[in-house]
Amino acid sequence: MTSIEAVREHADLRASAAAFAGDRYTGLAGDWDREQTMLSGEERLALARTGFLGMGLPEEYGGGGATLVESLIVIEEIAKVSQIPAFAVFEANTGPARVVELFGTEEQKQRWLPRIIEGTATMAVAISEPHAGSAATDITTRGVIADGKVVINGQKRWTSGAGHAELYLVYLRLSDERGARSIGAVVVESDAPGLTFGNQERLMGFHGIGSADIFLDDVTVPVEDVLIPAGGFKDLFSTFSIERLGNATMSLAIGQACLDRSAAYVQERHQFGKPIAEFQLVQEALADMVIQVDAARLLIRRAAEGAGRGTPAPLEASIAKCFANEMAKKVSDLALQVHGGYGYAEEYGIERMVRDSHGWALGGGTPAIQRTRIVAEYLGRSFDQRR
Amino acid sequence: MTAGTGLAAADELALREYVRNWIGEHLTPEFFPAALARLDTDERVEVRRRWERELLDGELLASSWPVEHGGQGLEPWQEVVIEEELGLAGAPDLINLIGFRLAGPVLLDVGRDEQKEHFLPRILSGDDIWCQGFSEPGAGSDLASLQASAVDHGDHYVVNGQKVWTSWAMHAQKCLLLARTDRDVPKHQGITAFAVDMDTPGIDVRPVRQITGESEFCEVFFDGVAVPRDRIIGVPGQGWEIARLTLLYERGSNFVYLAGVERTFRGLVARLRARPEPPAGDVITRLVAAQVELAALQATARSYLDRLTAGTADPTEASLIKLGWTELDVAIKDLALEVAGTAAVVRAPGAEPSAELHEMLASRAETIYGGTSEIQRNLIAERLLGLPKGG
Repeated sequence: MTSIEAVREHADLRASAAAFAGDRYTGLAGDWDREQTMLSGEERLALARTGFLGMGLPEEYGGGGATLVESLIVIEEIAKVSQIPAFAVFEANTGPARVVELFGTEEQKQRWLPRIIEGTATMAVAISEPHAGSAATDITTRGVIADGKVVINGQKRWTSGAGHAELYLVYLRLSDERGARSIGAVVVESDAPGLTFGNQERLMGFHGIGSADIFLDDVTVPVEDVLIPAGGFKDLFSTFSIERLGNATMSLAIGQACLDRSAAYVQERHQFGKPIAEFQLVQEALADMVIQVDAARLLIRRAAEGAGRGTPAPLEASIAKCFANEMAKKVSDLALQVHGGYGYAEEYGIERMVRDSHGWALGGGTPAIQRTRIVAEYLGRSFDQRR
Repeated sequence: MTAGTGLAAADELALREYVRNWIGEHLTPEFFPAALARLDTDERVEVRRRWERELLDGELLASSWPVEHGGQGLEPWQEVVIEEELGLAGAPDLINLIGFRLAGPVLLDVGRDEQKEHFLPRILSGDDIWCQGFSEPGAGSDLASLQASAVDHGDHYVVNGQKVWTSWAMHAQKCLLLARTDRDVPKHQGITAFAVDMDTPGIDVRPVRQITGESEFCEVFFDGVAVPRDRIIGVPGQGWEIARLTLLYERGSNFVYLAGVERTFRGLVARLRARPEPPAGDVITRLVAAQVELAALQATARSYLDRLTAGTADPTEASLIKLGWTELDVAIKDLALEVAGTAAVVRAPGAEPSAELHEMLASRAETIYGGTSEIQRNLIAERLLGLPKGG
């Protein structure tokens, strides 16, 4: 495909995703946020029918075989209207399902990917623990392998979709070695005996995406469900980079939606006898929003184009995530200010985006962690954060 | 020194000492923000009423009102000292902020004697909480374009229109209302101020849900509301002057808020000190920038206060402090939330949000109400710096 054809196809894809999201979610987004409504099974099936849900997963399992750029376009357009359905597309195309695709055995892919693509299962990722957040290799959840089975004990925290998803990609220690060398991952079904969930957390944003503690009490799974054996953790950074671009795109959607709404508002809203867009200080705010959103878009695009259907360069992904997360906080804050009291009130939906913008900066490696990654990649060395 | 022995004669040090001692005895845990946050809205109103009663008994509220109207006759700088100390101590906001700080002083300035005699004691007794019917959907920053109308029917006016961002309207007994009474004159001249009873038929109050999940602001609809002629404050057509006077008093509250910013800053520093590990580099950068900004603002506020006392202050200087404290408060509360980490953005079901989260979200109204940051910047550019009027 020539680059011109690609641009045209991307424009068509963007328009199609935007039309679908606009028609289906515009009237629901505010209510879902207020009521903290999780995406229903029916809505997930509707997403699957469009082909968006598994578009970035391989065609042989029912997916669309799309590039990362294409998946991110769809995630952005849906997230601009509502982050709740966009989260399902994010999980399937840039989250744990990609780990299954890139690291799973053929048998594992056959078992899990079609369910995700058809919209009958969501796979959530369980890494963080009460005492292992940014320091992910501090996790203590343990899996003991014996007699063809893995017996898992531990507690997970900040698992988005916990209690709602059907499948959990649980990171855990599979041997006694210290640090990353013993860390692997196992897939656990939601109805596995011994798997229980804490109360749904009430978060600042991410209403309807949800988060809860996960308790694993002698949860037993067949050894065939080990997706990443001990020591495979270091290879996972490549898939973390995919997820970071998905995360960055959710932030981009917030920034772009805030910019779009602000651009319309400053031309509609009249004060002192003219549209407020005529005032220099409003122009300055809007110009900053345009610059920030455009820069984030280009950084994400650069990293995603380099990935094709594979994985992005970690440096580019970290730069994009760090910038986009901070952009969304700044731009949504500017949108609130430009909208005045209406930005502060629920009705206009700007305050929802302000609240959501903070979540993306906390999940998937904070901007502070990304900065450490950026310097490490840039200087070609690692920094021990424990000394 | 004790209450009743002449606060008006006190110098700054003596006054501060009196206020601090008083706060030590009266600002009990039930008035702390964390305790208030656990109450429902009605209970919170009651506790804040009690706090106002405590302040009145201690002669620390309405303190610059004349003695004959129940005040202490203090100088403006003395009132500021009291408010600074209350802000630093983390005293709760007044429930009748508008009655004590805006409507009361406006009535003292332009109200007729019988209005002062009727309304002021009811503010002091807690019988009347006031709200402020100024902003409208189409008239925010451009307040003078307000469209709510009051039509002269002889012994009364009939009010129709909509107000918005009316704080605490659901708890108010009185409204300081601006309405257009004359459409044939330039827009600033056709506005009249009224004192309206909120239980008058035709008034509909609808709370607005805001970013914090609370509803402190309301929309207020006026549908054929009859307001007696003697409820005009000042004279017909004096509404814009009264609006400007009110906004001036509102910006005068900046001192208590600036003290509150210092309190928030000190709290953040204390939490960081208590941690074993040093803060991240960008946290240090932002914290030090906030310290510099705070020191500069306090110096500015002090110098403004000196000129206020000498009678040489330019009222626009209040905009410097309003712009400064609101922008700084947002920055500090944003940093405090980041420093508090993920746990601060979560709450258990049924629990209140973390203090850091609630304060950060609530702070976002500060750069909007009472004149947005953009309005303050334009005022400063035009009136203090003498720059040409821009777009």
